[in-house]
Amino acid sequence: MNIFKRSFVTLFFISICVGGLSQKPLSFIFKKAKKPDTLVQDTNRVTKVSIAEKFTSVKNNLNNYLKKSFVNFKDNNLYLYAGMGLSKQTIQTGDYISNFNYDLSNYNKSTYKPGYFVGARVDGIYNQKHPYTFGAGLQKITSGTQYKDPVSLAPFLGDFSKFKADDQFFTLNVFAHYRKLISLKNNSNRKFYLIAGPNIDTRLSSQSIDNQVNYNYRRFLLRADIGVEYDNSGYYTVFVHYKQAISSFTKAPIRTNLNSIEIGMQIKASDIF
Amino acid sequence: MKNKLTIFFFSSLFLLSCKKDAGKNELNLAYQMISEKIWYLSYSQTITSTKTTEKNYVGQSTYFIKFLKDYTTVDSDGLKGVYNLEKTNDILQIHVNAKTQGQNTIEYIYNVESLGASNMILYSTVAGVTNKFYYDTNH
Repeated sequence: MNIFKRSFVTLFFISICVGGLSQKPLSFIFKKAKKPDTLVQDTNRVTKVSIAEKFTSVKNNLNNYLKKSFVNFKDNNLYLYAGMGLSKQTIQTGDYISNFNYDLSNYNKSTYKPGYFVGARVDGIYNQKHPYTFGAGLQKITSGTQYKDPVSLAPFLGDFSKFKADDQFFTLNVFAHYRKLISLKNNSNRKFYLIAGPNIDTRLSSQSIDNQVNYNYRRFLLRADIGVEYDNSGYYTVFVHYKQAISSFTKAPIRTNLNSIEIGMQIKASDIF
Repeated sequence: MKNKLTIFFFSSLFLLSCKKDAGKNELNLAYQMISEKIWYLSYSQTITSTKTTEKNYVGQSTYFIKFLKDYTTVDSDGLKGVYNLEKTNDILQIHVNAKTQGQNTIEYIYNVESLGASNMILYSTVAGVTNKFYYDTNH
């Protein structure tokens, strides 16, 4: 059920993105009502139009729109990327009030746990000077959870928390990076870039039953992304990014910082398809 | 433009409409934590305005109560009956209706101070005296 829900949400967001980028690609869905005499003629015409032609039409509309809107954004190349991320949350519960307690001997794991991600990004150059990246992808985050301010339930022994952090999330990840080429000797084919930029994660998965009592987790998470990318003669690019939370993933008074280290590889879409 | 606004409106509605009743969720979570376990009394405290008296039952033969999945309960004193989880005046409560071995009916309500997967603190206050009961599942 969850997989179905996630798939639905993913398709929904993709349709929003496509709808947002092109003026008329989805216009056949939102056609206005037409007069009965022209309706039969239109229906015959629509049946003749193949799916391939529709896609071509969508592609052309999209290209025209992009050319008009992004005049200074040149040399755009579409890449597909995938990789694994290691994530950790640090949690400060503050004066959070709850009827529930969680024995931290079971939950306090100050470790980075592995997840994975896939997506697409566009690399280009703005104004012939500034390399940039825009992209979006889906991410499965699994995180270790470190509680900074455990509470005591004396006379019971041990450390407890009134909040249990969720350690698994499925997110839609949207980002924009500025890339800076690092000058190295003999680097005509092999290029190193430093990247930095904002990253917004939209939580698509639901919260655990423990957090549905007060709906502690926010839908959006803002993070700063810095990293290094190595472009091997245009064949592939490997990258290492570090994402530092700027906003808390939970509502006040709980503060959670979700940080990740991501290692991945990207390949030009035209080399695959 | 109108289409974009429509999509934005419905997507926002979709994202924001996923909340269920939080009160019901709290009772469901409490039920999940409490049920199908034997809760042993480990400590008790009697708190008045002037002093606190504590008793320790760890490692001793002590009172226990079972809360079963079908909302029935049985305890070490031989009381059998049914229980329910309620929220009254913003306080989470365990409400028990039971019968003694002599078939006398007993009804009692304990307030929940804190509830976990293996620890539970209940309390009741009568005439300015608060009795706290510390239960755990690992006796």
